[in-house]
Amino acid sequence: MSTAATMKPSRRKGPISFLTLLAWSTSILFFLPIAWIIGTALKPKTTVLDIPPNFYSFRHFKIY
Amino acid sequence: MNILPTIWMLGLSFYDYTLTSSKGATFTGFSNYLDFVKNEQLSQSVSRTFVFLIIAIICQTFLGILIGVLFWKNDKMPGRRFALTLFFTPMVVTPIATALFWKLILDPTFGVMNYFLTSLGLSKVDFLTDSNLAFPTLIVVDTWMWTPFMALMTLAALGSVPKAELEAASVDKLPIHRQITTVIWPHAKFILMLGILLRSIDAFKTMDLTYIMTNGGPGDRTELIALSLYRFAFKSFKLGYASAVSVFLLFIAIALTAIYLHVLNARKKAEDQG
Repeated sequence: MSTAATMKPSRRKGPISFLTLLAWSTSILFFLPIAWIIGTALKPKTTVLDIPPNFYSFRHFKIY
Repeated sequence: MNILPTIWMLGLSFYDYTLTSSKGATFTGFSNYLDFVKNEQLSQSVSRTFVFLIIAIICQTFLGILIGVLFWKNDKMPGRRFALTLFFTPMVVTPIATALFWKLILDPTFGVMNYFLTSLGLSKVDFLTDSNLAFPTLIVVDTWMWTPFMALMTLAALGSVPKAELEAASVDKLPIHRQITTVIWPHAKFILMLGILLRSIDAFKTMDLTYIMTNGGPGDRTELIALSLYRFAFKSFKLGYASAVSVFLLFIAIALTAIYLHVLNARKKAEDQG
């Protein structure tokens, strides 16, 4: 192994820090409404307004 | 190209010109402006716009700085770029689409938000039709949409701080508040100020969110000045009056742009001195 390869900075190993978890949670929280709407866009029209919401209707997947 | 429509609008603001009226445009001097000043509903809409602007900008700046610092501190976190991409998505979605899907999410009957609230044993909430909740809901959606922009500006601002100065501060074991005030803030303040000003100019023109989500209602609780302007111009066809309101908006935008340019010049001066 060359010296350059051994000196390459690597990501910190070990348990995931609290700050990392917080950053990821924030990103997911901000993306959730968009994820929900993408999910709704993939549903068949008849199930879009189902109450309670149908979370798993991808078997009917169809592009309109 | 830019000046001509503005001059046309300025001229039109001195005329009584209604498209649906059989009489043509008649010169009325400053009467449109006087009507605008006297119109209580319109002044309420202006003050509401300022309240919206101030609360939204404060929330977005505060959250944006917190999240920006979080990602700045976590520069080696796994999947940082992907997390940032997810986080920045609300900012790049078309505001009309954002308004439409938030309207669907917050719908009292079909909305998923109320589904979760009832699942938790809480009662249903009419987020967009309750007179006390509609305005805060708009601020929350605007904050959701534009906090990533302020976080982006914070990341850019923090990126402008020279690493050597940060390292020197940590070698000297400066306490964190001293690091912020003496090392970070002098470099970061210009970009942050620009972010706040750009958001202020943009927030003052907010129309799409209110038009789609509440249409100014309930009553006129969420009627912002840009929406009133739209109504005057394209619902009542009062083009002279709408032009007078536009001129007022133009002056506010010019005032904010003047501050923006002042900050840019201040930065240039500071760089020249440094």
